[in-house]
Amino acid sequence: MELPAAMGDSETARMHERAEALELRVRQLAYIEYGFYLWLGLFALGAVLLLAWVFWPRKRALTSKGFVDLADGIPAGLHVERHTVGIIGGVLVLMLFAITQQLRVDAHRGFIDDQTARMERELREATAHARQEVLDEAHPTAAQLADAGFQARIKKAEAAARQVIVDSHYLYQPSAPFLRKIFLNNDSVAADYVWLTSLQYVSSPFRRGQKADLMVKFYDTILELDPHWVGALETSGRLLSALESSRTRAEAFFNRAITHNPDDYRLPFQAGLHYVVPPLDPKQLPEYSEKAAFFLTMAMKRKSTPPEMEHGLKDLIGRLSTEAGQYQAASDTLWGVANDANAQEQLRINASREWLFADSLLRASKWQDAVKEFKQRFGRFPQSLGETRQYVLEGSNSPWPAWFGPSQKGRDPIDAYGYAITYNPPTGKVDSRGAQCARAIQTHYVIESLIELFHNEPENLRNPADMQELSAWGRAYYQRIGGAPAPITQALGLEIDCTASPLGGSWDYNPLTGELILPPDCEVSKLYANKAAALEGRRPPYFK
Amino acid sequence: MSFIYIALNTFREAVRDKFLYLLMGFALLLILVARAVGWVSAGLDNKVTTDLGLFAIWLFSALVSILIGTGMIYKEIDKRTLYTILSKPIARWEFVLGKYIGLLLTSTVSLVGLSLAFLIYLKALGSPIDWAILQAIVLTFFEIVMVTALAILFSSASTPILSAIFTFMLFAVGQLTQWLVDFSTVVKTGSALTTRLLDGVYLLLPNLNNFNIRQQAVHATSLGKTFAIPPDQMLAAILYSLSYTAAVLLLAVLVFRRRNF
Amino acid sequence: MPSTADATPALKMSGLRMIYNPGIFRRKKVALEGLDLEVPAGSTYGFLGQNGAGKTTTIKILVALQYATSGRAWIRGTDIRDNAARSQVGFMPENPYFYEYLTAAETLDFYAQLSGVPKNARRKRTDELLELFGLTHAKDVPTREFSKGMRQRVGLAQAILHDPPVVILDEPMSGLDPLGRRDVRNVILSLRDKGTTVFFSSHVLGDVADICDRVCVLHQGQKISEGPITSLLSGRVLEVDLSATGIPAAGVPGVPEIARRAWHDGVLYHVLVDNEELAQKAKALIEGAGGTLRRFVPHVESLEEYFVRVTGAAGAKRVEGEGAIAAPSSTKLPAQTAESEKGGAA
Repeated sequence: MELPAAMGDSETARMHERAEALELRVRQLAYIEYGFYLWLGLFALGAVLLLAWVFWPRKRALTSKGFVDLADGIPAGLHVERHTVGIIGGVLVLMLFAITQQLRVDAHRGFIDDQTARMERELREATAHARQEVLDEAHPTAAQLADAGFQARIKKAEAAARQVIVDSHYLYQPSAPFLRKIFLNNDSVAADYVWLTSLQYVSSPFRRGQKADLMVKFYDTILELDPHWVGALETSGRLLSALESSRTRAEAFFNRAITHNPDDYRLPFQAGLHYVVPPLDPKQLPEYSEKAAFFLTMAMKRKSTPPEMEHGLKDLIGRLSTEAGQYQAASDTLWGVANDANAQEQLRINASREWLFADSLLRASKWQDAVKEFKQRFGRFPQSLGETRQYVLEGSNSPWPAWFGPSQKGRDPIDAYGYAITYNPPTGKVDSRGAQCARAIQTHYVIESLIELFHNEPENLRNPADMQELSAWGRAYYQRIGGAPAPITQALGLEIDCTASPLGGSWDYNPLTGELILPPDCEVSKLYANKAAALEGRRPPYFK
Repeated sequence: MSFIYIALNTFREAVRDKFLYLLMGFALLLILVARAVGWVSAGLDNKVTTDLGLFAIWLFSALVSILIGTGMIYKEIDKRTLYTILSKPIARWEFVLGKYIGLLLTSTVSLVGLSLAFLIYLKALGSPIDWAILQAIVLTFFEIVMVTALAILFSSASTPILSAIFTFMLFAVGQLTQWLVDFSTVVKTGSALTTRLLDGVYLLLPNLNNFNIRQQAVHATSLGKTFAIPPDQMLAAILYSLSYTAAVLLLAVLVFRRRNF
Repeated sequence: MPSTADATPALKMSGLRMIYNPGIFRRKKVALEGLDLEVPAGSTYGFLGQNGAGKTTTIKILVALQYATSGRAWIRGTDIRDNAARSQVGFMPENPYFYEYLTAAETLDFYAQLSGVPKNARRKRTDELLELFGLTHAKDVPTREFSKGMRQRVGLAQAILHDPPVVILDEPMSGLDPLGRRDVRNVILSLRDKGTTVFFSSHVLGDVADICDRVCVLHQGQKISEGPITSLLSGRVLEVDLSATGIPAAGVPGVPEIARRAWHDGVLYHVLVDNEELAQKAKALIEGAGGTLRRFVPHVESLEEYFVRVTGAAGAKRVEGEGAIAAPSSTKLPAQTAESEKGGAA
């Protein structure tokens, strides 16, 4: 094999390797053909002897009439009963020969290669995955990443994951092509068998830390053998989802399963639910919510979706879209649910509330986009929203929504709640007062529960002096017990920061009563006054 | 047409022999156990039960043919019951054909019995019975038609143990003939002769996988189809079964005619 | 039913040869060598031979269970290659065996179907035969549970179900007790009365001698003797047994020289001579000595004796080293020996 000139050392080595492998394959091929010819020759010989025995002309006068009356002859002495031992021996020799040939056939066909390639792929994936997991858990800064100790931790995780893969190859985890042959092409039954085997490992304490690596191999085998067995694939996905902290592997599995079952709604539904559960790190929430919304939308569009699920799904998708920052989609979807006469009463009420939130954020985001464009254009922030609007009406070529810039000047933009759209000229930040209030109301409940927790601690038995103390105490407390629950981290962040209020600035806290004081407009009935309008399909005005 | 009498008699004899009921008993046991297996399948009962049920029907009907059929003619020779029959004005091909039909009747009875038990069981479990499952059972019947012919062929040539081995090997190989086709497409780098020969061997061996639509049948409803495979494919499979069987029986008759008793 | 005037022989064999090929490395075995035989219609024909002589082979060839290497055969003029030939034959194999799980009635019904007995007559016929063979009590018993005698009877019954003009039996009396043998004899005799040709092989030579018109003796695949029994045996006188009174104890001079044995038991003077001629001489001598002949019994050769003689002679010519059991010192049969001993002692 001719190698191209001027190649680096590693390149050369690789080329050599490939050349050798290719040559080996060519030789194997020749071997297989040779073996096959021998095999076929013996087979043909046997067939010829059999036919000779049947058709050989015999010296016989007393044949029966019929079209096979070909002269006479002597039976060709192949009386099977008398040569049983010899024949059994011959059959065994032939079988042995056939088996050795099949090994070569398998080698050529890549059956054995296939196994090796699979294992290599699995090792690569497992290594990458382990690394990702460690990074996800620790969220290291650049400095931490460079730290030798941290690198060692990554290496250790990778090694452990690789060990699992190697060990699992010694476990009874046969591959799909192998099982197909053992079960004589009864793929469905083979899949059942793998499923039952896999169930044993789900709850066993064996391999607790790397269970997912083990199980995904079973589930991929099931997918290969019986790709339309949605029940098992769905459950497999859920199990993977539960067994792992990182979600990408389960998502990848769901994707593979969905590819084979484009019409079934259950798989995308489970995939969506997989991402609905909030992440440990709230910074990942938008990404997860976006994925969840994506999958659930896919599920909703499938033909087989039961109609009774539709409204609940829509509502969920709407809320997830809001979390994902896709305000237009969220607003449209939630508006649809709130107005749908067929939906349940309570669902519509919830949807209307969510719509108010989503639409307010949508409006604020549009104003924010306008401010950004202004800045780009003129190099400074606009002084007011009025200036922004003027620019939009007169100077901008981008498409803006119809409600954005009616000609009434001097009117202030409001959000869906009816509250003002606030603008901070120095920072150029646009916000929806109503959405801020909604968040503030939610967060204040969380903080007040934390205050109560603080108060009930035996070493405290008092209210925290200020929000900083509460934050510090909260951090320590949750670190001790291994992590804060999702509602707390979603509201306050991983660092349990109680100081910043969603309304901007800090909380108005009364240490004596241990209460947070909200401004008068952050009051539930006032805030949600517009929901009736939403329920009846009347859009709240965009300007006051 | 004396072969009818031989067929009925063979059937009667097989039905009175306890062995048939032993095999059927095992099959029924398997179908019942399928339910237990379903229980531990984490909510996927019906699929597993249906799978195992169809599998049991297929395997045990084939075993009835193979185990009963391969000893059939040899037993007649050994016990000399053949003497009083062949000395009557009956042609040898009638004897072979009669034996074949009798054996086929026996395994059909087994197949139908097991299928009925299975379908009733499915109904009792509340699982729907679709056309697809019935289609799978019908094609299993045509597979049994072929396997029975092979059993008769070997039975007329050889002792029971060897016949059983050969017939079972052909049965197993017949499920996997697809492998040969895959191999021949891969081996294109070799000579065209090898590919042709491989194709020839593939054609010669019974393609029993043709009749394996069990997987499609189990998933037919969830995929929204009424039938597991379209009717023209089914017709093709049935024609294949009938023509291959005719050829094998012809060979069996030829072999049998040459024998001296 | 064929009349005895029918010229077509019931069975005709011409040049039948059968060569077995026991294996690739062993010598070929010749079972039959050029057998020519004609069995007249209506006769009762005995087919005799030692074990392994080729009787069963011949019979199997006739009913197309085996194919002869060469030669031809006809059943009532129909070539045996034709399946229709077998519709004229009823065949019973040696040690017949039947499907285990069928009852006697079902077995006979099955064979009736195969033999071509019309549907409406089947029931009647099977009942008839069950009655005739005394199997009515075992009508619904599976043949698995039958004794040997019962099986033989069923075997015979299935052979005559369709009232064939020719009946071929292979050792019909093998292994039966005397009552069983008597039953079989009676059946064969009744068949003979009806005019059916009965062709059977047997080792029970006494019965063969009684029933058969003709016999054929086969030895190592070759026919060594054939013909009506009377003509085969009539010529041979083994010995003549004379007894006379009025002879003194010393005997008659001249007699001991020509006689095999001569003794006086106190009352009678017994003489055993080899043939009729010598017997006449002895008679003359005795009467010449003043005695009165009381008994003059020529022992005609029995079939058994004939058989032994004929096969022994053929055997001596052909086979070396195959040990036949040596003949005892006395060529007389034990019964005769005992008698003479008794006579001698007294």
